[in-house]
Amino acid sequence: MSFFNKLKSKLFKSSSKLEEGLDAIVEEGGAAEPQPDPGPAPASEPAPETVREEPVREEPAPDTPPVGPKPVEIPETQAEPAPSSGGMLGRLFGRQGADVVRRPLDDDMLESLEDLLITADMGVDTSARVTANLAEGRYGKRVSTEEIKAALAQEIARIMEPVAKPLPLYPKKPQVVLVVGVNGSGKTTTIGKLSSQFNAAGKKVVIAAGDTFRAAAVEQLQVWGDRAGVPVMTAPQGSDPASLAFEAHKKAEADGADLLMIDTAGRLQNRADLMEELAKIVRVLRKRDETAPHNTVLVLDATTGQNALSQVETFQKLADVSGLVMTKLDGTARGGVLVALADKFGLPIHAIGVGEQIDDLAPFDPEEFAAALTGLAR
Amino acid sequence: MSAASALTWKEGDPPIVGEYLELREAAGYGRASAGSVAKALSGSIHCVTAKDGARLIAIGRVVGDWGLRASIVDLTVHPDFNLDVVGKEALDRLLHWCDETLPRSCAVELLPEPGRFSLYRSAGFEITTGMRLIRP
Repeated sequence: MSFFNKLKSKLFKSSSKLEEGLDAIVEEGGAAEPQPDPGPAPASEPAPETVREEPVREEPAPDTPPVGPKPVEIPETQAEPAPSSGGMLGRLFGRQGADVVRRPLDDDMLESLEDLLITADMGVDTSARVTANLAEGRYGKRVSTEEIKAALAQEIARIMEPVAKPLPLYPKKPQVVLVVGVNGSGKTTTIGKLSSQFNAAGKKVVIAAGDTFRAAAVEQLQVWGDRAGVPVMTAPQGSDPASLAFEAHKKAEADGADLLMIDTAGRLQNRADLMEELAKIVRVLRKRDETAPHNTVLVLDATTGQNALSQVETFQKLADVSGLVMTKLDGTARGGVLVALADKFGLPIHAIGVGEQIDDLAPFDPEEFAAALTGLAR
Repeated sequence: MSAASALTWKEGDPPIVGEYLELREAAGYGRASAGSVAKALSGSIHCVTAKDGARLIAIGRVVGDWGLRASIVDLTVHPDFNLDVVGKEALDRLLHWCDETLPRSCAVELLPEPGRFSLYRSAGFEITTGMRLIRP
């Protein structure tokens, strides 16, 4: 399965919901128009019944008993399409000549679109910006779901384009990559996968298991190292990670390694300690190479949603973050948080992870991602 | 009915708006706009969630001013799970956080739904008089 199909399949829940939501929004205030000829624009399903949305209002209190109508913004009535592009193409070709539902892009529709994007975890500010950009040049015009979907994918790709940058490789040997992130974000796995991939690409890698506090993290790295044939430098539990980083740099240099990947602790509970630990690692590394670390990669778990934004803020204060790796774009991750991250911080996204296999961590492709997120066929 | 112990509990991270809306819908609560929910979740001073696999099945939040008033809100449990078990666990976690984090001057209060009095009583809450403006 290609990475795109895997990504789309993993983002299936969110993308199909986004897709369904877009369908529902257009159908809600739209009317079927005959398609002039079987052109490239695919037909949307005509609305079985137009449901008038109740005016949106907040609950008077959060602990109120169930009242009111069922939500209508994300109807679950449609059967979920197959995660591959075949379903979409099937609809495209199977419904040629059918009527296309269009509705004017007005304030109500823009509000619904904004809500839908927030639901997809894009955050309030980014959703508002994306919606405003969508409106430009289209406001008042009658649009179909497919047109909105394509415009949305284009807008998302436009935001993501500047941040899609693979981990830069420098001629400096060893290039030191410091990997930071909270515990459980997938740091260790990311180091393992990146090391395997660089190793397979002919780069000589050394790993330093710098989270000396967690024995499990060290063991996990050793497993990855054994699998990839990459040496893993370890130190006794509780020992100074800066000393380990120093020794690992010495070994990497002696071995003529291209890359030294250093795992770090992620205990945010005590920020002062963590800050001091990271600062010490950097200080010590600079005794051997004053330009080190050459990259500080923050690993983020996509399922933490908008909390990823505050993690970036925190780690920017703790370490000079130079790029991001987004893991766990599966399960209930909505994916929209990547758009919010790109929009707010503009930090390079080096790679995204959609599963446990080595190949499930791949360079970030903005168009692929935008298509997967919006459910656009490719 | 699943036991609370088999779930994955998380403290501090608010859930994703979409999954929260799904849980709300499943629990039969009235609809709220995604924008309002996003603001509400980010306005929490603490949040506890439980997941069954990848599915969000319970949430409880604390809102307040960190000093004098804190309210337990949004205690929601998916109907597939036992409110008295999972809801109690969420409530205990929220109250533990309040004990550990908020000053003694901070009153912890809530507006119970009918039928939940015993759950909250078991956690030490007492009934006091109160009023609520139901906005049209």
